[in-house]
Amino acid sequence: MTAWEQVLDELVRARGRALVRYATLLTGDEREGEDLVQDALVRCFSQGRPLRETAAAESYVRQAILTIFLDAYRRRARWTAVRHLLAREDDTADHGPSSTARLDVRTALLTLRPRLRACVVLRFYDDLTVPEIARRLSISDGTVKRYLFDAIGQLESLLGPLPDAHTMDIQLVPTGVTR
Amino acid sequence: MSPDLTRALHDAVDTGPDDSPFSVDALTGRIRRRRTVRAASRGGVAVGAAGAVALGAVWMGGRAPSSALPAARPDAAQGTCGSPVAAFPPATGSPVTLLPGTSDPFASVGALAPGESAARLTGRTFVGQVAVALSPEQSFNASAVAQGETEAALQQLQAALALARRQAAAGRPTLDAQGIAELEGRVARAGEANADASAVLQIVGPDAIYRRDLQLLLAHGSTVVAVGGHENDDGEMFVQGETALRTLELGLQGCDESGDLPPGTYDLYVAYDTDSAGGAEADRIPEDRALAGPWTVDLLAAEPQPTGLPSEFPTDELPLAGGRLVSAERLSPSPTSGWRVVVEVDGDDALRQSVELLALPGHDTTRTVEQAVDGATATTSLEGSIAGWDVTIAAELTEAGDQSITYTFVPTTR
Repeated sequence: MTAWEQVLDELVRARGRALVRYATLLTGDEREGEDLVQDALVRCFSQGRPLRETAAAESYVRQAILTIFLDAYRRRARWTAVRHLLAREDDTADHGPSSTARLDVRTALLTLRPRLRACVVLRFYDDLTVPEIARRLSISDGTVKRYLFDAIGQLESLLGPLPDAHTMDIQLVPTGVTR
Repeated sequence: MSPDLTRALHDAVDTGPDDSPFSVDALTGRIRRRRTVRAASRGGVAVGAAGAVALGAVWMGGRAPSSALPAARPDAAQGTCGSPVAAFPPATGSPVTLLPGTSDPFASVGALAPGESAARLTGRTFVGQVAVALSPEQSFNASAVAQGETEAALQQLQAALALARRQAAAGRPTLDAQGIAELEGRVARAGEANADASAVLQIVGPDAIYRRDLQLLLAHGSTVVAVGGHENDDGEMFVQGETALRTLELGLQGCDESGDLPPGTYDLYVAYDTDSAGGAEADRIPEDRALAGPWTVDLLAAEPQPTGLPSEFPTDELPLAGGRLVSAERLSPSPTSGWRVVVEVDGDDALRQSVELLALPGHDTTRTVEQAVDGATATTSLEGSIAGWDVTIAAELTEAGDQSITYTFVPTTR
């Protein structure tokens, strides 16, 4: 087994399911999340630059997931998208209060436009700063702030107050004030 | 209770079973195949670096490249390696055409007439868009699918509204009456958008409404020397009006596994089913297939990596596209600042080659990220990051056809 195959094997075994859950935050559908992760893995491991360390590879793959998701979403009307994506009853069974909050957050997340959804995931899961998100998505800092402002407003309209969303090192600006 | 957004997202991703979600073996196979193609492509660059003179001598000396091409096999099955192009019946009034596979904004955006140039490539991958005419009935069906997309958006909003109403009914409202009214308004607007659904869409998967089993064939003389770009169930199809577009890729390696095809001019064909209703492959007879084309594809000799770079430029970390160095300078006088490097290049695939050599994560190299035309110069650029560096690559093309790649490398400060 070559070095990259070993890293791939370790990554899929240890973090494959987490990567799928990460992708599912974006797609809203687990099967599409799996497809997205596989495409990202193929893309990252097909390229010449060696991936020798699992943690670094995971970060690399997460970047690819974001890029592929945003790239594809603009053009995509997947045949499978006609299915219900939200509030499936079987998702709500046997979960405690934390899971209920998680389900609600996940559900609410899917009402956001893809770029807003990506900003929220990068900010609150990947813990990136505004400039880092801007660089990752190739947009300006101001646009990221506006996206986060709009996204948090929309999430709060569905979920109620989100205290941690307002304790971050970002100053949100209303739409139209600053770009 | 107010949810904690950060915690909820971490719970959603990092808690749960850790079993492997799919087969690593299948994934490894896909990756190996792609790595083989890429390695072959890079090998071409290395060969160019080591033996540009020799390649030039061979080619300029007038020897045809066919000595390194797959041998003709007159009895080979239609469309297979070495088979004659004439194994396909003559076609008239083909519903299949090819669109330019180049990112050249000065190029015609219309379909290429047979005999026109489809691409000039230094790499050994061809990516092209094939357009297939749809019948009015198929076009109507496509509109119905587009309707499905906006239907999904409508369903998402309806579900959000239902969630808000359920929470209100359970005594823990998250939206007041005004909030619910606003959401109802959005549902109404989404319903209107649904009624006006665009007919531009992408269809994926075996349920696609229409397929011709498209396949790219490259021929030298009358012999098929590369086969690929086969339409499959995972392919994507865009439908606009009465035209379906599919992007197909063809590795330009000899189909007898003889390695990269040598420089030269080749004929590109698209093989397709003449029966638009499709059908099982096993039931197909040669008379069911036809060829559209040919268009020409010029394979150029790979250029060596530019020479004359400053000694402190990290060539191992930052491999550049093959070509002639125009300039290489620090972004500022500081020895820790980044670099701006300009390389004059050939081939329609220079940007793609640049991205592949640097292996920018997640970039689909067939995609244009940003394109602008300023006077007689068009710039196509993209941004990305690799270990230790933020990278911008801008491919400039003048109306006269001169091409250059401008790299900007900025050390990552994180």
